[in-house]
Amino acid sequence: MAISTIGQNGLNAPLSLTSPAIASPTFSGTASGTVIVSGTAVASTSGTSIDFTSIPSWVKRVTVMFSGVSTSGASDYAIRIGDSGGIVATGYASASIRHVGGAVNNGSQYTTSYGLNNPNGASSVFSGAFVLMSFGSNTWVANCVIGDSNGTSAATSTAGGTKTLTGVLDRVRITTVNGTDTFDAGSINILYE
Amino acid sequence: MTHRIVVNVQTGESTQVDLTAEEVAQAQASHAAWVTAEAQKQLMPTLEQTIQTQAATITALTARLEALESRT
Repeated sequence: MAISTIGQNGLNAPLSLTSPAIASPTFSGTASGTVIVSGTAVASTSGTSIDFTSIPSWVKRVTVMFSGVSTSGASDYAIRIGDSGGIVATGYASASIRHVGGAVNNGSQYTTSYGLNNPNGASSVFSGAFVLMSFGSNTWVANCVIGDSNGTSAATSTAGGTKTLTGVLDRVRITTVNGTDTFDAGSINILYE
Repeated sequence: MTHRIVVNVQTGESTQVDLTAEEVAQAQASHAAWVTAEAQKQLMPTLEQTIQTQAATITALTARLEALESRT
């Protein structure tokens, strides 16, 4: 649908729309302006990983949102990205540190994923966001501040990292470093823009 | 073993996919590597432990210094 803004005098005129309703719009090609699209929230109550697939090629930022997410074990969380060749589990440069009870505790470095320190193990309950940003040339940098609201030990985790894919990002996986802990609470969704 | 959840962000469709034998083997290998890494971490003092050790050393040295000063 094309919208003309040519006024009566032939010059561009301000366009005024009153309560326009566009049902289920889809976007193709390169988007411009501010377009933030919400994915579909999924319950993180089972399984060892959650994938968000078919992310459009024009996306420059992906925000992975956690709401009350918990896992069955003590492993740190792992966020991996991928392209048409699949999820990639090598070549990351990432670090994360936890802050528990007012103290800064030892952190970790990760090469098989973006890592997210799990402050209180199986009792951790994460809410917050992990943000992936396009740096250009299929390189994606990430940062994260996330809270652990398990009710007994106040904690946050911070993280950052970078990873260069060979192709265009089209999927994101949320899992754990050890690959065997299972999700047992909360929900996860993404925003892409 | 278990499964993964796959969400197609364009259709909103969510499916549950059983892990393949290869993926199960990879998960088990990751778990073994993680157990080894965690054992290594246990051997290293945490930042809090290091601070406590250094604080105890400072306290002991301060006490010795005060004792020496009281003798002179």
